[in-house]
Amino acid sequence: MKTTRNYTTYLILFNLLVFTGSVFIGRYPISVPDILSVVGHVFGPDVGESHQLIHTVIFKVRIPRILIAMVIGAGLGITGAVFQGVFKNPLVSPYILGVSSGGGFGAALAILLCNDAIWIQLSAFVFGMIAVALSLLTARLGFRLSTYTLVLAGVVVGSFFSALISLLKYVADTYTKLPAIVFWLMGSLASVNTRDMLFTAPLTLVCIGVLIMLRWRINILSLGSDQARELGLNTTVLYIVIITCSTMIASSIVAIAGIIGWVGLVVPHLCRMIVGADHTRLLPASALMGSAYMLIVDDVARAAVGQEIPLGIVTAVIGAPFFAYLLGSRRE
Amino acid sequence: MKTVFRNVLIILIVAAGVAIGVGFFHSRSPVRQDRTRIIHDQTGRDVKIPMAVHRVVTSMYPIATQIVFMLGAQDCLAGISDYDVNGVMKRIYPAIERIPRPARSGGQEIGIEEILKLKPDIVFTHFRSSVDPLAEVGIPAVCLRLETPDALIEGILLTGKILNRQDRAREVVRYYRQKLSEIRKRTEAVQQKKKVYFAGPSMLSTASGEHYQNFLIERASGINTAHKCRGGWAAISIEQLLKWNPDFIFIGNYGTARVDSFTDDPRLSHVAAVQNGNVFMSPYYIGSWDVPTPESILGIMWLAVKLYPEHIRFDMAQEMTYFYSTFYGYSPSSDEIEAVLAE
Repeated sequence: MKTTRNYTTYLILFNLLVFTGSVFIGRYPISVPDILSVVGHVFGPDVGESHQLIHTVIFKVRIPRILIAMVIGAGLGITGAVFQGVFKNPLVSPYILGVSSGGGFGAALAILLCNDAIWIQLSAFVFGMIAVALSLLTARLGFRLSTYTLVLAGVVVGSFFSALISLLKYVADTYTKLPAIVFWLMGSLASVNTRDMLFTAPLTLVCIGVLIMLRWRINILSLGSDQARELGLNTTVLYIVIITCSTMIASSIVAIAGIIGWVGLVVPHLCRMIVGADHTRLLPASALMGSAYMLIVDDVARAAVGQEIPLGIVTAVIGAPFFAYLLGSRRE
Repeated sequence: MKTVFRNVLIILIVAAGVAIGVGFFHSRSPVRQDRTRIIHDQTGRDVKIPMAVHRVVTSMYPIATQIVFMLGAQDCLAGISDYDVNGVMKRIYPAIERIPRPARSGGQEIGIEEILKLKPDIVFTHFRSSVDPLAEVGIPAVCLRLETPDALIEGILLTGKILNRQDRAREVVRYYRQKLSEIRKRTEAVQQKKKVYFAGPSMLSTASGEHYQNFLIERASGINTAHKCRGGWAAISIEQLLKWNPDFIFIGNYGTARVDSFTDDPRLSHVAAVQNGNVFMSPYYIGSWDVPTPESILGIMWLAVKLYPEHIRFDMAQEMTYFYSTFYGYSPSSDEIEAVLAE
């Protein structure tokens, strides 16, 4: 138990370190003394006129984006860990039940029909949820709800929505609408603003809280649904609650940031190597590790070059070799 | 024995089917004229085309439809795309609704059989990949590449040659060159060129140095803040926008961004364009004035007037009337003009 606390403390410290470092990184050139003086003045009465712009950059641009990256990373990390445990499958990611393709379809549809930022997000969120609901319904056709049929149903529904996305891309005007769709699908935190934050952060944090509260039950569920039932758990209800929470997290993330792959797959594996397979430790660790990982990835995406690098590219370029390394070191 | 007989029968039927199919395609070679000529298209290919061209298909390249209109050859259009039919085009040329449209929307490749049905003398495209399949069934395809204003001028002259409307093409091109050189001369004296940020699909995706909008800004004597970026639309961050600090912000009408996306954003209150009220939606009439269409000359003029009002003056309402009545044979109503030029 003592070691668990230690890991959590270390991870929180690591997050603080990355957070502090990230405040100093960005495209707008600001000297370190300027940053320190602006941050130092926050608690004072006023910021000098000359520092107004620097104040805006740090408090209205950088820190909100840092916070949203952390929330998104935590959400993806924990849902990845939960899904891998519940589905007893190490290759599962938060998108396995079709959230990303459903959300992508919803966004593409809204881009074609009305092209208004709020509707794009709402449509992405709603269709992400619809895709998962369809997966659940498909999995129940004829069978008892089992994790294998659920994963298969997720693949089926995901492919279906992917095909619909392709269809929308095909009919979209190549000069104007198509770039908007392609752009959205690549995933980015560049255009996330305060309104998006108010939409996603509370929902994600509440759902993360629920999942962490359920960590003991998820442990039992990861033994297998038969054992769980013998221990007196209502597995179907539990599955539904867990999947609903995870889907709300993934859906709201997809709605504001597009499809960010790899985080939900790599982070739980990394954490499992450090804290072990026990979900009581794995879930908080995955959330904390996810937030730090996402923040580092987003720092690269926003500050490396003048153009934003799509997040999906950075997460995969960093994530894939790292994952390969994890697989290699596991064999020993 | 019975199965052998059945197999032979099946093979015979399949062979007959193939023979009929091959014969069908060979029998209907759409180039009926014997007299042909050779032209060079914009990808450097030699294309053998009929002396007289009567049926033109532009379904794969909507910009070509507009060029055909400007050359006064709209009666030759045998196939267009959904992209070409909108409220304005219906007012300009009501018959446009009756022209076959094999393509949903526009700018996609289309199956050979759909094209064959239209019996074209020539097909305009910008896909290199669709040329050879068309050539195989005897349909000449011309590739147009219109991604810069100069290439657009070249494309208009080439299309004029193909459609035997060279005089008209030269008239159009004379207008273009005259307006472009006028803008260049008037802005030569400008010391401090204006920095322009052009938002496309979203607030933070901007036209890179390779994009048509970049050349549009250059021709209006502005500096595209993202001229060093590469790729089509470049994604950037708020911080990058603050660092660029553009004097003007223009927004394509096809994206998610609106003027208040910039003016209402507290993060951008220090940007020069926002402080001076220089954030504008880019106009559109038949289509957007900032994409590679013949109308984009009006877009360049409009942009130049916005950037350098003290150096250059076009009466845009008058210019619009002149442009559309001369080249499309249609005078926009004063309400229409007002709607286009409203800010």
